[in-house]
Amino acid sequence: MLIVTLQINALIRTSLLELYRRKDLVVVFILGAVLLLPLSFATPFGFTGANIYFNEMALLLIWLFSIVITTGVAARLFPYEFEKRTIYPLLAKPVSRGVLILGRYLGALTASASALIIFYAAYILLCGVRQGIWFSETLLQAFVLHLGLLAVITALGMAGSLLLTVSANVTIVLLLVFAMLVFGTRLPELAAGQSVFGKITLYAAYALAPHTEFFDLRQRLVHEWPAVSWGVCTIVMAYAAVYSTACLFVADLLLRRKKL
Amino acid sequence: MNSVRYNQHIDLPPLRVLQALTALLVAVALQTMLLFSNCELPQAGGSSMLALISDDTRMVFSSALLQKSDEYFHGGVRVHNCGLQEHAHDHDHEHAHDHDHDHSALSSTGGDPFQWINQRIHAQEHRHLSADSSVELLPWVYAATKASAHNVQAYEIGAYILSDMMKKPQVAIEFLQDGIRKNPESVELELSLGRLYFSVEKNMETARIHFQRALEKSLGASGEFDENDKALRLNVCFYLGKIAHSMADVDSVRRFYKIAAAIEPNSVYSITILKWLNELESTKEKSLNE
Repeated sequence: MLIVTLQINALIRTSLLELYRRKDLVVVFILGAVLLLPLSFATPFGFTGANIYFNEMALLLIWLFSIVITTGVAARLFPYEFEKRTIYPLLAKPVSRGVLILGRYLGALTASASALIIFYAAYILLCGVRQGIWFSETLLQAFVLHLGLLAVITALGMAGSLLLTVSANVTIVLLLVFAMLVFGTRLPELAAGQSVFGKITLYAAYALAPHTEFFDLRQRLVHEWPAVSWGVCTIVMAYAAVYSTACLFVADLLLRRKKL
Repeated sequence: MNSVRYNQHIDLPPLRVLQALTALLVAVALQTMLLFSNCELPQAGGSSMLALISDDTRMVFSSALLQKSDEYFHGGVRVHNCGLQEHAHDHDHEHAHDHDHDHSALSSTGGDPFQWINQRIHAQEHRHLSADSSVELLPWVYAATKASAHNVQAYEIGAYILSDMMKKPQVAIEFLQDGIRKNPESVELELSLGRLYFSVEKNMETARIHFQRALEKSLGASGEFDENDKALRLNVCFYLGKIAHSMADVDSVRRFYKIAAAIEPNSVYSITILKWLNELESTKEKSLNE
């Protein structure tokens, strides 16, 4: 058990180092600053005091950047290992395939979560300085659910990376994530007006695709709606755990079937 | 050698995604800077196809930005049957419309667990932004008019927010005047400006000038009139009739009644103007008899 923990720790460390070595975070931070700086100085009609639009844009960027970073990190893991042939000494250690999957998953998730912590810290700083609001229950819930979203995307990206090329995997995961974010709640409504084939397809998508919209508390946070009950948050996190576990099982199955 | 080439293949796609994302975000940043800067983009759609497409695209973008202001008014909830537009058009009618229409927060999910979660995660209750917080709506209205100066509705809603919600009628007047400069054919903006002078500023003479201009613009328009055009003209006649009635100008009231009756004799506006006309005529008759 201790050996497995040590192995997983080592795998997590390498994933973290990989993210910070690539300097993706620096790039997205500069982009964020370029986008938000002009907005922060805007005074439409000469009136100051509008904050909601600024918070919404900042959160939108956090969502966009965190999803892109997580997808990139998850989708790159295995193809890179296969190409660099680093997977062979790893499996010869001996690290079981299951431990490798779990270690790489937790590594990618830790790397993405560390980036998310930096983003939210910047957001809290911005809100604190502009509005004097440093913390709210909804903010904590938004962060926790956002972590749940990253867990789902990482698992999905990792399973896809054993089946597809990096570019195809990134494209499909991003499409799924954004499509569900926009249309997730409306899929049954859209399905109602379709033909039988369309209905089946849309209901299948509704049942199987990751419900990324569950994790989106931006509206509540930005417009200062009351916090969601922690019971609902727990259910959403349980959904994330079940979905991620299913994806990891698929990834494990694919890795076991893969000819090395 | 092969290994090096293949590694490049592995590393390139995410890099391309990042490059594409960078280009997209820089474009959005530039657009944002343009929206919130004072520089004016060419507003008139030219004869070329590119200019027309660009103008239409900007109008669509502008409408989407304006939609955001409506969403903000309802606390981030998209409400279809109670919008800022409705408020902007009815702002001299003391908000008589029904605010108790059904926006039940948690409707039946039909046993669908995903809908159950969604209804609890995303706020669905009906609420309106308080007047103190109405400054939050301004960035979107401002951006909408910067994106397309032909978005007349954005000017109307912006003027409503500034005058009625923020109690800044002077800024609203300047905003509407800017809108009229950029949309010289707009009857709606002249009517809005007239209403602002009439209801908020209580400046009947300036209000009359703007209503008169609105009437001239509406009469000057050629071709078929749709229901909206008719309603606008009736509205203009109503205000002009009201001003003429307050000045006891029987001839003007008669003239506006004739115009209104020609459009729709049974409308509430025509009937009201007729009532004023009868009232003035009977008063005049009485004074002549005395």
